Amino acid sequence: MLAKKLTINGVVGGVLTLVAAGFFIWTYSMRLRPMELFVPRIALGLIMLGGVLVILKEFVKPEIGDRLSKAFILPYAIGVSLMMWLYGWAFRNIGLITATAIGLSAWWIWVAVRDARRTKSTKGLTLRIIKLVVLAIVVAVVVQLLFVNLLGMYMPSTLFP
Amino acid sequence: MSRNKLFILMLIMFLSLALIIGCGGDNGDEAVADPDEADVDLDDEEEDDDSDDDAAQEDVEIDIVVGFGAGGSNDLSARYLAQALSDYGITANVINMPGGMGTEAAYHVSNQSPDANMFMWGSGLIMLFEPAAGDRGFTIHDFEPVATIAGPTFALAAKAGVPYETLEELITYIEENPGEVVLGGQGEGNSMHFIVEKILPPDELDYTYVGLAGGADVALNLTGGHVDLGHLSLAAARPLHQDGDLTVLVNTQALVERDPLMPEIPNVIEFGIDARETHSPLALFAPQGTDEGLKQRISEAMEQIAQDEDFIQSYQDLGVIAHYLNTDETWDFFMDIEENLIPEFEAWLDSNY
Amino acid sequence: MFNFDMEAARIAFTTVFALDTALFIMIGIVVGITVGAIPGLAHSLPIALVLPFSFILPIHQTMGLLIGTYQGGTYGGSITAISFGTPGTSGAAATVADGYALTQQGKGKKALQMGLYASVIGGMFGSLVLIFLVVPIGMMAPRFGPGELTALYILALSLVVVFSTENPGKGILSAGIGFFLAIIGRDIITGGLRFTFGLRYMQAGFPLVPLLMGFFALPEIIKQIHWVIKDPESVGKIGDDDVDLMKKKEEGLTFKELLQSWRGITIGSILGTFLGALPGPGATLASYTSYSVNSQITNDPKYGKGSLEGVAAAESANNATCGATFIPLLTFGIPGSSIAALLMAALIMEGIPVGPRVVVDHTVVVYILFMLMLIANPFNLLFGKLLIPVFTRLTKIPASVLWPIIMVFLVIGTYAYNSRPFDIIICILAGLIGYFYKWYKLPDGPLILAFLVTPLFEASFRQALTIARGNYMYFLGSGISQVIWLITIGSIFLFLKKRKKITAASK
Repeated sequence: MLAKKLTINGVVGGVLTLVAAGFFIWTYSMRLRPMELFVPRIALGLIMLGGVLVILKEFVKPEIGDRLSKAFILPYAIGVSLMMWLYGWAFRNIGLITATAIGLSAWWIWVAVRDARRTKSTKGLTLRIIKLVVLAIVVAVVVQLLFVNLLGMYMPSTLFP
Repeated sequence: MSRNKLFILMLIMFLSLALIIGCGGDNGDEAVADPDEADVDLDDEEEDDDSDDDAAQEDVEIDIVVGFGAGGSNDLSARYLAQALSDYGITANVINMPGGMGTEAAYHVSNQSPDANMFMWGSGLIMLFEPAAGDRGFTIHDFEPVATIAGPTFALAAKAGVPYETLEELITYIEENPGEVVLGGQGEGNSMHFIVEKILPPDELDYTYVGLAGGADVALNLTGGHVDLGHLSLAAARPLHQDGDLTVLVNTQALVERDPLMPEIPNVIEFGIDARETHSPLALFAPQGTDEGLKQRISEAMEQIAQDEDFIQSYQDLGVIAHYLNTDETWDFFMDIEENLIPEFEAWLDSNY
Repeated sequence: MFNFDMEAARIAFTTVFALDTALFIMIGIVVGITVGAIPGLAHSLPIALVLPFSFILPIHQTMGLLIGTYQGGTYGGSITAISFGTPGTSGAAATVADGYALTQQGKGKKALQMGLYASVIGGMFGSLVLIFLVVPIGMMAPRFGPGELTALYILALSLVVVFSTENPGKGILSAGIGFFLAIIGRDIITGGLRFTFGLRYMQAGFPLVPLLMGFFALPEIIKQIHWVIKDPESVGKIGDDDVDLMKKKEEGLTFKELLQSWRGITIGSILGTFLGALPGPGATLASYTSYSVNSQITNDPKYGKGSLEGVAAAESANNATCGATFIPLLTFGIPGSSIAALLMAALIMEGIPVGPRVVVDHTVVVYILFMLMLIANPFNLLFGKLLIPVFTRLTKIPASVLWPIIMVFLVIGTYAYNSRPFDIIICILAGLIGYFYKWYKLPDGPLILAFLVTPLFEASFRQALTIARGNYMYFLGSGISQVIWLITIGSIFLFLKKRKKITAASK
């Protein structure tokens, strides 16, 4: 009976409550003054309260609980985050124009080739890729002009432009 | 099929064009203010250390990193300096890297290679007091001084309508009315708070210290009468003083006694209290190993600039005193703080926090 | 203190209504809108960039440029918020919910136009209040000390309740996370390190701009990239011939729809002006407050899911703060926000000592500022109108092309904000939190409100307690505090009563 009512919704609420409770206990061993810990404790208390309310709701009125998407997007979330981080690293260490142009064209070429495979028509693929690479370079140049030349963004010196 | 693509391309072109046209005007103007294209091969300069006269003719580009956001007096003092340096063939770009009371910026500069031509717009607060309060990833010994040029003046001011107008009257008043006076300072547990407690030691005088968010916050709370005393910059206090919204009691300038901005305001040292704000004078620092010739050239230019009437006036409007200390004097000044004041500050921190 | 000076007004008029001033305002507006529309790129950046011009340009040109950039940028943020669900500036975050929903329903053009008109009306209102009420409102600002501000921020936090009605557990959870994110980093008063986990970079905490950008933009990027890979048919492939779609004309906003949103615009303009005049809150809090207050009185059943009134409430509020920001600056020489500090710096560099006497000693300059504020609005309208068709078309670019470009701008813009590489990681972390929020169906309003108000609330609360030496009665000490407390209690009571009625009716 209990197992049936234990939904993902409730489990996540429970996990958040536990994490917050852990932090809450941790605050008592911190070398900070009570005043500095006043609001953090309110925050953690609220998270615990919210988590408990979510679990309670699952037990009391499970029929109106939120339906969480089962689509498995997490790998994409991690992938996109990694790409962003990688790009953030690349444009500061390799070069703004180079990193942007290479990054964008790599992605677009991959999508274009994938599309071509899927539709099984390679007609005009080369032309399309050339156009996309040109577009990537244009975007890279626009970014360089806008951020570095116009807004004077601070850039560490890099190997390539 | 390609029409769509073409359209996107044209759109992007149009947008970039609009940008270039829209901002192109700015860029042109900027070139007048601070010529971006003055890129010169700096390696030449490093080699001929002794032929300073030749090197001085060449233009050089440097970055001055400011540890606070654009617009404050710390930032503006750097911008005035950068502007003045351009007359000496030194193109200085001011880069703002706010965060952690300027320590983020100092940490960044301390990690730069000596030939990056990057300098830190540092004060005792950033270079000495912050690293003393906790690990900030750098110490002053990661840097070499170039020169000191600016000394912001801070002051203690009382709200309108209180029965004391001098520091002595204030101290008497606190003694006679314990627990009544509220003093608003800029933050708590930092060097500003430390200085205030040196002027008014809390173990002798019973008053309340409250850490407000910053100079503007102090001014606002004083005008609104929420605090009785405030610790803020003289430049912020002066117009309010003239308008009768508050009374400036004493200044804490470390480089000179009286600030020409308000010469009638006495320095705290005149009362026999050495609580001058040695953490506030601003100096240019370079990462360890920076070319001596370049440092000397900038230092000499700063010496000239510090005597320029317009420059002195601009600084004065900011509440900053233009006061030059050369490389050695600067180092001595900072080392004096490190030897004498920092241990006291650390002890104060340990006993209070 | 401040009497109308005809001669000064005449001089100011002839200075402002000249071709060169108009040109500089125009440049400012175009730069502002463009930069404001780029996600991650705060419009304080171009203002800082323009600052050195104060050394060489006369005051009406510099200030024209700055005010144009400020007003344009504040509006520009809404464009990307509506078109791509990615707020261009933090002040436009409240616009995302309704604006982006409208775009997805194919009513993007209407939403963009509503954003523009509401911005211009709000901006106009803020400017007029600045001109006519600068002294009375300016006198009010210092009366808000720590005690009064604490009461005010608790009133703002009570709005969290409003957001949490559907599911109280999740609303509280969301607010708690917002509180927690806000306290990470250095303590605002003492500088003590809280929850930095020993990481040096965490000392700066979660800065507002990277947090908001990541929170709103990244989940959308993830969703779109997921579609591109999983279901390419649905997003239109690169080079696909969807010219028809582009040619299809979208309906614009009708005058009737504009009039129907009068509540949102009125509330937004008034709250925006009020909160803008206080040092601290700023455009983001103003637009969120206005948006949630309006949600209580609107008749629009689609509020929060694609309502023009929602866009109007948020957008009029953030532009109304533009004029109001000047109020404490001109009455006391105290800058209430980072942008006000920049404008003050520009004035100082022009040789105008900003302080309580500036309206008397430099009446002409003050009039010039007033007139620039006023005429920046029509220019904003003009250029906004020109740019709307461009942006409505941009939304129809295939996802596989568009979103990587947005990602590039997001990453670089986040970095450019403070030149701090770690901000990119903050942005990504915030994005993952945002993604979790979407998946777990947590309401985002409580998080943003709590995140914005917490530092302000915490500082005032602790300062008040220090001043009062621990006496809690201090919070009821002044008339202003008492009124605010009454409003807080009254509004929660009214809200609960209304809520009960609705649940009773639905049963």
